[in-house]
Order: sequence, then C-alpha cells, then structure tokens
Amino acid sequence: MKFESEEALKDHFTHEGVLHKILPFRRWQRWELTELQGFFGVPDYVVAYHRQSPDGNVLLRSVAVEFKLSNWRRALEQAYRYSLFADYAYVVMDAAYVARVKRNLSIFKRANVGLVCAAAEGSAEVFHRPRLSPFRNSDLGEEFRDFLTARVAEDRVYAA
Amino acid sequence: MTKTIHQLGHNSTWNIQAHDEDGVGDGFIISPMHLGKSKLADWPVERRRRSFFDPQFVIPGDAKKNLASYEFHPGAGGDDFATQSYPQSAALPNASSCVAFQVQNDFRALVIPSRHLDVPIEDYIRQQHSLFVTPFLTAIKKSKSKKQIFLQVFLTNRMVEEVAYRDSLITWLSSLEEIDGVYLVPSYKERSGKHITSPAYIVGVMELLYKLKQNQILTVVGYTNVEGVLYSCAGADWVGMGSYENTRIFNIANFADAEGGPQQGPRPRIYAPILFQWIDYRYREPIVNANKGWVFADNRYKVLLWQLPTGKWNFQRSELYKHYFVEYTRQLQRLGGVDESTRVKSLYSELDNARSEFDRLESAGVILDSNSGGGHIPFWMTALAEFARARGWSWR
Repeated sequence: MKFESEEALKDHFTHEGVLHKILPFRRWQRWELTELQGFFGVPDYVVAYHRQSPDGNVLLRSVAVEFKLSNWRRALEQAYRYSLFADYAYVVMDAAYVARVKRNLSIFKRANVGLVCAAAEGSAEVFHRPRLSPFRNSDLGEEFRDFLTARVAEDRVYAA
Repeated sequence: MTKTIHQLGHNSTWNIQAHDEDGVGDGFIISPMHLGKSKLADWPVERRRRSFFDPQFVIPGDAKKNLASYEFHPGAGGDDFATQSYPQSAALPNASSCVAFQVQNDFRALVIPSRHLDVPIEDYIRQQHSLFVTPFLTAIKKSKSKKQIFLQVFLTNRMVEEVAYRDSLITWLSSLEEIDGVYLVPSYKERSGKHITSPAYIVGVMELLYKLKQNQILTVVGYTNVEGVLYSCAGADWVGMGSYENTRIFNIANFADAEGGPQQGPRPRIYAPILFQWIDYRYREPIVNANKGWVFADNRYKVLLWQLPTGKWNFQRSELYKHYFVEYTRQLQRLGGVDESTRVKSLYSELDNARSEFDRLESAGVILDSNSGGGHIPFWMTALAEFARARGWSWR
C-alpha cells in the first residue's frame, strides 16, 4: 500500500516516532522543527538530539530529513544540501518505489546521505546510514550548530 | 574572433575596473536605466568612444529609474499614452533628440533602438520601419555623422525558431544598406533555469548570426550568459558580459514601471569555466574537498574569494564578477583566432569534457542541484552538432 501524499509519509515518520526508533539517539532528548529556512534549502524536518555528558557538556547531533514519495533524485539533491550543515541528512521515501532507488544506492553512499524506505503498513528499512558529516565544522555547519544550541538552551533543559 | 563587451547594469563600477585594471572586455554597452544622464556626462571621452549606448525604448511608455533623465526617451516627458503604444507623431522628434545625444557623446556607433514586439513578421517590419528605422535614419542623415549604425532587434522565440520568420528577418536586415550592424537581444521565453536549454532557439540564434556575418553585418549579442561561447562559433563579433544576472538574462519585466516590494538578494555564485556553470558558493567547500577546486580556475580574484569565511560571501562581492569577467574572456580568446568550424570542434570537445567532469564530481560524492549541475550541457552539445551538421562541418 502506498502513502497518499508526502504529508502522510512525513506524519507517519515523525508523529508515529518511526524516525526516532531507527536512529541511535533513543535515550537523547530532542527538539524538532519543520520547514527550517536560512541555511541551504528547506528541510522538511529537522531534529536536534541532545543530552548532557557526564562532565556537564551538552552534546548535540542534528538530523535533517527530506521526504519524497518517489522522486529519489530530487530528494537526494535536496538532502545533500542539508548534509552541508547538519550532522546527518536522510532521504525518506515510500517503500512502494524502493526498487528504483535501490539501483542507485551507491550514489547515496558516495554522497553520505542516508536512505530509509517506509511502508504505509508501518515498517521501515534503513538502506544506508550516513557517517557524521565532514562539513559539520565548516562555517555553515558551525552556524547551524550555534543556532540549534541557542534554541536548545532556550528550553532551559539543562541547569546552569 | 568574438570579443566580450561589458553589459552595464546596477554596479557598472566593477565592469569599468575590470576593463581598466584587468584589460578585459572590448568596451561597454551603456544602460541609461542604471546610469543617469548627469553621471554619464562625467565619463571620460575615451570611455564613451568605446561604448555603445542602448536607448532602451523597450517599453516606450515606461521610463523606469534613470531613463527619465534622458529627455529623448518616450516615457520621460510624462506623455500620457498607453505603455504598449508609441504614436507616430513622437517618432521623429524622439529620434532626432536621441541621435543628437549619441552624436554629441561621441559613442562608438549610433544605435537605433527597438520595441520588444512579438507579432507576425510583416507587422514587425512595418512597425519597426515607421517608428524607428526611418525616423532614426532620417535624423542620422541630417546629423551628417559618419559613425557606424547598429539596429537593435529583440529576438523572441518565434523570430528565431520559425525558419520562415527568421529568413524574412535576415532578408529585411540585409536590405537595410545604411546599417553596419545589429544589436541583438535574445528574449527567450520558457526559461526554466538559468540557461537556455532549447536547441531550437540556440541553433536559431546561431543561424541568424552566421547569415548576418555572411552578409557582412556586424553583430553584438547583448544580455548573454555563458551561452555566448556558442554564439562565438557562429561568428558573433561581440557578446555581452554582465555582472548581476539581470544583465546576463534579458527580462522585459525589468523595464516595466511596476511597483514591487524589496527583493531578497540572490545567493552568491562563482563561475567555473571548465564546467561552463555558475555554481552556488555553498558547494565550493565540498568541491574543493573532493580535490576539484581547480574547476573554478585561478586568477587573483579567486585568491581573494578563497580567503573569505563563508559568512562573508554575498552576491554583492565584486570579486565574484571580476573573476567571471577574466575567465569568460579567456575562454572566448582560447576559442577565437580560428575559423568557425574549428571553433565548433574545440567547443564541443570542451563541453564534452565539462559533462565528464560533472560525472566525476558526482562519483566523488558531490551532488549538485539543477541550477549548479550542468543540466544545460547536453542541450548545448546537441545545438552545436546541429549547427555544424547543417553546414557539413564535423564537430567531434
């Protein structure tokens, strides 16, 4: 069964918590945002996972996601932009079109963009997990991290 | 050999500096919309002698920005006529005033302006004759000026793509014995990205250029982007070279006196001559990290840009455009100096190499979007092959 729309795919992944079950940050707290503008492209969904380390520092990992039903190439181009400032970038697609995108999995690997295919029935399969982005220390990456750090701090999650 | 000529717009200082300090660009095409009459009066004579003046009668009833400072512009007097009309009664007085201004300023040549018209060829020729060609030639004859005369032509899609229309246009232009050259402004509709990707349109412009050259009519192609390299293979004498995108892509909306809110500036882009592509600056770091930074070519402006932190890049950095002026002029110089058939082979080979380089970038994990990714290259190769095939030239 296919998803009816990208919005339905996105809702399934975010509200149903599917994304958080497949990423290795289950015990971390999270701060979420949709349609973030001002960096490079407009990610459909951004989540900043954060926790306090034993020595009191705040650890932060950002994940930017592009949802697409079937246009894997367009999704990859958009998600690649996010990888230039976020720690991890993923494309999430409708599993009904997995055959076409799987033939091009090597491009996702070379681009260091993650690929997940989700089925409307509830399952999700990770075809590629990206490594920590090499651009996180670039000017754009640092600017993004400063932005998220400030937003997380506003939540006053961690005591001074 | 095709030469670059600076297409002036908002920040003409950069073009002037590049011309004077780097020796690039064979003069200027002045935009009175951006350079008021009093500022132009401050220009040294030598610079005016290397300039074409574009009267910009594009939409006669609209005298946008500094156009109103030029009394010969139809819209400057506040005449109350509809934007789309241009009364015959105004034609000769405006022509006389415009010619007198051009003669007085000792510009490189005299330019007969044109309206942007998308009508059947018979109507086009009739209107252009009655409103511009005849009045201006009358005024020029009266002035006794010996300067060369160029006629402006806005090239709509049908003018270029319909063979019958194009042939009629060439016949008409070559029948005007007083004209030494034409100032062509490609006005391509259906542009989906930053480049012209219609082989039919590109080949049409090239055919027009080639046949005008055969008729010994000089050609200036204004408002061109990187596709000027294609026009050089058809024998264009000059191709425009602008800074901001609105001087490299003609858009009639820019001449309409419409209200509009403040616009966000575009993202800065840097020209990669090896790829025939302006690339969003945010891709610079991954390209460099993939050991492909050489695609941007080396000149002193690249050195200056590379020293900037990413946060300091913005579209108003002059180095972005001066870098382009130097590299684009070099490209045309490299292609030039040989006959058009040899130029076609060289350019085809360079475009093929660009296509391969884009593939290699992707293999290295750099995924460029459609505005930076060279999607226009295959269309340009098709156009070049078609142009060559039509004359029995080889292109590989």
